[in-house]
Amino acid sequence: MTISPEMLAAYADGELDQLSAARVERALGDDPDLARQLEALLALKDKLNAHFAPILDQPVPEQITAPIADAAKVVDLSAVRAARQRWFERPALRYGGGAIAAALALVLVLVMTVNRTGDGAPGMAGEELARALDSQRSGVVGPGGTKVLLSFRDHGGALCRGYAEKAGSGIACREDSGWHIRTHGANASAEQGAYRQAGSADAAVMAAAQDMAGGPALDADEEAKAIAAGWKR
Amino acid sequence: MTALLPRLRRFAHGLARNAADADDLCQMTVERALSSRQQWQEGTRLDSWMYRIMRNIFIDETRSASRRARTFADPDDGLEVGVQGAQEATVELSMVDRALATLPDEQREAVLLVMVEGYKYVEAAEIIGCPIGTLTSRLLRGREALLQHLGEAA
Repeated sequence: MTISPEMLAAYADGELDQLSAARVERALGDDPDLARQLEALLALKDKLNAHFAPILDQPVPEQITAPIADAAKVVDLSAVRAARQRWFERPALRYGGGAIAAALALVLVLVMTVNRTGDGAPGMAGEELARALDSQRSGVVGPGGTKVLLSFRDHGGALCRGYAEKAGSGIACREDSGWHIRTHGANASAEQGAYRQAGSADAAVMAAAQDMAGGPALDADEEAKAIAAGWKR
Repeated sequence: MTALLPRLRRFAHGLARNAADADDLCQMTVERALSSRQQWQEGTRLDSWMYRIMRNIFIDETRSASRRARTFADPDDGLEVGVQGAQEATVELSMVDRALATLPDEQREAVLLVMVEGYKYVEAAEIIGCPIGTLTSRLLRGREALLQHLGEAA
C-alpha cells in the first residue's frame, strides 16, 4: 500500500495510532525511498531544534522579565495598602507616627494570637508599668524602657492602653483600682536578649487593640487630657 | 509564567524577522498576558494560552506593519536592544533562518509549534485557532518548502 506524505509526516510527529504506525513501519521496510523521506523529515526536525536550542539557554532579557517583576510589585503594594487601610481608616490612629505605621505595615496580626495565650496571667500592672501607663504619651519610650503604643476605649468605655516593655507586651485598662492587664504576652526577642522583634510585638498589640476597641484610638489631645485627668472615665 | 519565558522567546525568535523584534514580541506578549490574566481560565494550560497571545500579536503587528509600511520594532526601544538585535540578526541569519523566512507566516507558525515547540496537532490547531486539517496541510507545505530550501543538507 502507499503511504501518503501526510501520513508519513504524522508518523514522524508521533501523531499516528498504533495500527497506522505499524502500517507505516511495514511500508518503510519495503520502500527505501519512503525510508529516505522519513530520514529527511527527522533530520529537518533535528536541525530546527538544534538551531533554536541556544535560545533556551540564554538569559531572558530584562525587557521581558521587567513587566512580571512590576506586576508582582503592584500586587505586593496593594496587599500592604489594604492591610494598612484597615488601621488608617481610623483617622485618630494616625497620630501614632512612623514607628506604629511601620509596625502595622510589616506584620499585622502575627504574634498576638500566640501572645494572648502566653504566660502572663492577667492581673494588676506592676508599679513601673503603671507609672508609664499613667504618665507617658503614646509612641514615647519611657525611662524604664516601656513604650506605650496607643490609647483607646474598649467596648465597655474603659480607657485602655497598649504597651511594650522589655519583658513583653500587652494591653492594660484603667479601672478604679488601677491598671488591669487584659492581655499580655512574653516578648520572644526579649528572652533572646534582643529588641529586634519589637516591631512585630507592637503590631500584635495593635491587632488585639483593634478587637477590643469600641471606637478609634485617642488622638494626642484626647490622650493628653486623659493623662491630666488621671485616666478617670 | 517566568518558567515559560525561554520557550516563548524561542517561538518569538522563530516568528519574528530578527532578534530585536522577537524580544519586543515577547515583551508585548508578557504585558498582554498580565493585563488580561483574568481571562485565563484556571485549569487550562498557561503555555497554550500565552502562545496564542503571542501569535495573535504577531499576526496583528505584521498586518498593521505592512499596512502602514513601518517597522515592527519600536524606535523608542533602548539603544542596547537595537544594537544587540542588529548584531544577532547578522550573526544568526543562518540557512535555517533564511529558509524559515521564505515561508508564509501561517506555515511558519505551524512548523514551529509542532516541530520545535513539540505541540500535538490538536494543541497547535487550538493555539492558532484553525481546524486540525488546516494545520496539517500548512504543516505539510511548510515542511516541504523547508526541505527544498535546506535540500540535502537537511
